[in-house]
Amino acid sequence: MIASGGRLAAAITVAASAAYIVVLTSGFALVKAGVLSTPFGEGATAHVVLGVLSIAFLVVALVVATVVVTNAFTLVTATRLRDIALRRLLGASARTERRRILREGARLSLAASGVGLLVGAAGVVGLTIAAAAHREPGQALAITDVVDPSIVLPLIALQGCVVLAAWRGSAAVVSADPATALGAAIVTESGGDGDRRIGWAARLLLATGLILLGLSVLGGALTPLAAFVGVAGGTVLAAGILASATGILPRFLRLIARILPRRGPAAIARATLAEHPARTARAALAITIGVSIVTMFAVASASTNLSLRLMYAGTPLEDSATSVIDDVLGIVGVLVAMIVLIAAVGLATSVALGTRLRGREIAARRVLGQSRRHAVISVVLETVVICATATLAGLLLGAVLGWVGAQSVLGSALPWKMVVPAIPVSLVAVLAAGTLLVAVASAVMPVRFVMTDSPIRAFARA
Amino acid sequence: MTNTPPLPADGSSTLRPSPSVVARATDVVRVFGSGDTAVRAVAGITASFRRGEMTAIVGPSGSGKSTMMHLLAGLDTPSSGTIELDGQLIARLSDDHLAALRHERMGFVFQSFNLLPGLTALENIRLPESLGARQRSRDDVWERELIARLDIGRVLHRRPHELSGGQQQRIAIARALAHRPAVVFADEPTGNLDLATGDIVLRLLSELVVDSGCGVILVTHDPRAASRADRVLALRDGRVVAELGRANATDISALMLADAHDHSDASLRTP
Ligand SMILES: Nc1ncnc2c1ncn2[C@@H]1O[C@H](COP(=O)(O)OP(=O)(O)OP(=O)(O)O)[C@@H](O)[C@H]1O
Ligand SMILES: [Mg+2]
Repeated sequence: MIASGGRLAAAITVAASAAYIVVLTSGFALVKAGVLSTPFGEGATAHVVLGVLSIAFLVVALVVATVVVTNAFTLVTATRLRDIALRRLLGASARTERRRILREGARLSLAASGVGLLVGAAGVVGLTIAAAAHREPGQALAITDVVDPSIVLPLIALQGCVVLAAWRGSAAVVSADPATALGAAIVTESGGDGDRRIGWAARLLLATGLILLGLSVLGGALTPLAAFVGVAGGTVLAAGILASATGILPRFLRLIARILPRRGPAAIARATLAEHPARTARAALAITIGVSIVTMFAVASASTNLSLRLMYAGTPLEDSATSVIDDVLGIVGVLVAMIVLIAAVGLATSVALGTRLRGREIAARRVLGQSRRHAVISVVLETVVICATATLAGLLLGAVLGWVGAQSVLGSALPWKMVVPAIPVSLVAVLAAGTLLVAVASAVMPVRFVMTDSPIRAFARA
Repeated sequence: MTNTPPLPADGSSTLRPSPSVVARATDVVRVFGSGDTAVRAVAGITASFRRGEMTAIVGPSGSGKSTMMHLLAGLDTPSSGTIELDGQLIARLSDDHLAALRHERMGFVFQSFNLLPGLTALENIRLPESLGARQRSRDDVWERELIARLDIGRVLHRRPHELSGGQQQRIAIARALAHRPAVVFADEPTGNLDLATGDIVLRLLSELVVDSGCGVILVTHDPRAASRADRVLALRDGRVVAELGRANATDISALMLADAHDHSDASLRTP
């Protein structure tokens, strides 16, 4: 049940990512062909910008998909630990067991990608028809305008990411002690405690990223070329954060969880949140990535707008200077929305499956005197804290990167050499509402589970 | 208002004719499923359980021991008959009430321990305090005594996966007794322990029962475990087929074997 839920989550994520890839490549192909109205104008620069943007969005989507699928496979593996331990007791090696999961991941990936490809193609057909309506009569739309053969590359990359995710998600197999098949104690994965340490490589990446970002802020006051340093710094920092997420996010989670009272159902929620830090962190990570991208673009544009407005205040240029950026944000918005959607699906499934996986624990607490109502409150609080943590982390990271980006590009153009940071209130409102929505949606399945599951299962032998 | 019935200050009520009885089952029947596939797991049991007394429920697999225990603890509802717990008819209680009753008046020991993996041993012992609607106050002196007698002082800051089965079960017993419950339910508490460790755990449990004055309902297959009890109820096919006072392991084995023979004879005759 849990295992099939985990596979379903992985399949949905892969399918959505494949569809995203189709929409992304074809969308940018259309823009390049000058079919869609583009704010980038003509010329080589526009193509370069488009190319960089599309690769960036591809990478982000692949990272999010990998995170979500890894978590799905962690859950699948966790539910099977006892079976795996039994097979290992009977002589199977950890390698064979992991290969089995890898094969399963590869098969699932191919099938789901096929589905996603079809869905994405349907979306592109819609897009093309809409675009054709804008064209002048007589200007036919060539198939090569829409279908970019290079789409094969990101699709292959997606398969690679899924196999990587299956490999990392099945890491618990190695620690599945054949002896656990003999015992009857609750079988849990060791909590990924090893992951909680932040490795030196990650530290190096984080430090380098921060230094480069600092340089780009300073350099931005002199020349727009500082933007290249900024992009490099942002990329390195992002890599560092990805590498250390299971170390950083749990700390942040604990910090946020402090707002919970120390008594009653909230105390239980606190304890559970601390229980599987790596898994919880990965559940939150995808949301954090999505939110930080949204915030980065929003803060960059708001800060730019504010600074330009201040610079051109009173002149006729005041309004036209800002509209270009708003148009770019339109295209980016659609892509980001898809990423956030995948992340939300990932979070909802990990929360739901995590609750099922802890079904026995929840049953034991109910036997020991927790009422059903309080069990429900605990589960909802857990979900809300995870969502809030993910969103806040994304907001902070995105705001910093967004402002650094704006500063590195624009700082030197301003008379006072410093972009004024601005966080749009509407963004914060949308994010708060979105967090609440995702939290509530994610809580539906766990709550239903707690409402219907019997506490008697705590007495079961295994 | 003189004719308002006063709230019983000592927790007793008219429903509790004998204050020493902590749990009572009257004509209890539990049927699972319906029609042809219906199983009468408990087929009419009347029994009472007293404070300061350990009662072992023994019987072959499938005889309804666990089902009976769940019914007595208010975790399951009888198809007919009544269960009275700590002086209250549980049929009248809501889920919240039952939870509060379990929280304040009952303790539980499981076959598979059910310690929460993320908490240390001490946190596990104290976990129930924060589970109820009301925060339970802690009796530090009693907690220290429990820890000393169960000999778990040195492992209090370890996580469950760093403990042996016997240690885990002793932690679970401390958790079950920390609030001085009126009755403790234990379903095969020695099922995952070796003979010697199981014996130690059972001895500690029976000593603590006498000292804290609670009742224990112990479901077990193990004649040695049952021999620690003050009373043995033997079940078969959902009915009480024999009741013994304090008995030694040999007598209980004999009883269980006789039972098993009857059973296998019966099943041999069927085809
Ligand atoms: N939830 C249920 N649904 C259907 N049948 C059940 C359920 N629980 C128990 N039974 C049936 O009721 C009967 C008694 O089960 P119970 O678990 O009480 O036996 P037991 O004496 O505890 O056995 P064991 O020693 O093996 O634990 C069995 O035939 C069992 O199959
Ligand atoms: Mg049983």
